[in-house]
Amino acid sequence: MAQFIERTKVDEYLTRIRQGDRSALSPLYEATAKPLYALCYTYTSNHHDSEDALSETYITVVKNIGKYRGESGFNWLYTIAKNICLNMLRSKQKRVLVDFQDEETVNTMHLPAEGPPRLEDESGIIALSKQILGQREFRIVILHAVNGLKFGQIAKIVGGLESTVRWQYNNAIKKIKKAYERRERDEG
Amino acid sequence: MKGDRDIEKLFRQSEELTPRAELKQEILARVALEVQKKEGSARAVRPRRFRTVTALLAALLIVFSFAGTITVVQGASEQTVYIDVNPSLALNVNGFGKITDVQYLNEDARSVLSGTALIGLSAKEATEHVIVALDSAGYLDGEAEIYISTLTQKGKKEKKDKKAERLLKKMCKAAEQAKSKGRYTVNAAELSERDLQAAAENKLSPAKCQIIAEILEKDDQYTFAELAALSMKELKRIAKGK
Repeated sequence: MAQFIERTKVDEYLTRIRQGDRSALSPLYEATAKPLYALCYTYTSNHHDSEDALSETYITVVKNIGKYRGESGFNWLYTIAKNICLNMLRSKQKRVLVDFQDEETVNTMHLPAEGPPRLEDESGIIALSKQILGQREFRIVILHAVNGLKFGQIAKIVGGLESTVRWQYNNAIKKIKKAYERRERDEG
Repeated sequence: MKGDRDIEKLFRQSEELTPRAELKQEILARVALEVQKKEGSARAVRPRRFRTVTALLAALLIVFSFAGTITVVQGASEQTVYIDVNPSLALNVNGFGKITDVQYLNEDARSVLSGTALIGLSAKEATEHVIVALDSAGYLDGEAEIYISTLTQKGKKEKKDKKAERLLKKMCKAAEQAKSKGRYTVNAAELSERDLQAAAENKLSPAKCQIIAEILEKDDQYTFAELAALSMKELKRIAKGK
């Protein structure tokens, strides 16, 4: 079931945190963690970095709560999460490339095993979408189909016109539908 | 044939992008730690006029105090240094190298050290006092391992804090040279913010958390709880595979 953020609740929690009420952090997390995590995943493509990005998001929110203007809280959270992910990707690009095929290297680095999905995804729809869609398409699909955002809201996050985002979404869903049916035929 | 709504339904039903349940507590603990650090540094940084007034008042108090017992220490930046044997404690050291606060991280530390006045001493003197007190209580018999640790890797890029490193070396040297009859080894442990986060989550000292994490990475026959009950000496023995 998609989690739809109750916008007014998010604003209420953020206002309480700004007033020094740390107990509002827990309900803020409950209301926003899943959609923010999904957003982070569309940038990082792995759960380990998504967790780090989500953690950094809440830390940044608390550190900068003085900058919160009392409205559009969920937009603010999305912007913070997105910027954290982009910074993460930029800093990753600067690192030395490691041969991840070399088992010994990977073991020495104590990297978490990404492997198959950690949680239930019986249909495999997320993994399939990630395989066949471009990053921007995947992001648009997740933000609409999982997070329940409207195309206008998505356009503000990913950039571009609302009409373009809508078109890209419909296109992406067609691709997913074709690939899904082909897979079912092949497996059946 | 599936319609668009069927495909969208599959996305909504998928739990693949749901963060794991334990992540909430981890993140809230980390946020709490950041808030503490922020509040700590906010206390340390004062507006310029306030600093000037406080400095003047401090000077006046020092001049007019009786028997030299009143001193005002205006700390700049505080550093927390942890001492672990099995008793574990944390000492807050201000920018002048003086102890401003002591936290006992377990009951052993409280029972051994609560009678020892450490606040106001230099970091060197406080370390010596701690070693002597632990020795008197029998914690340094039989080749004890003393871990002294502090946060030296700060920020996202884990930049080295040279001042923290120097403080750590100073306190380790003081521990080695303390006049005690016990036989012990002093180990210096440099901590990162992740170590502090893990310590806050597990309610243990960071050095202990660090060595437990090291053991659990290599050996899964132990549980965290079993290792948390052991002394630093026992943990070091296990970590070295003896």
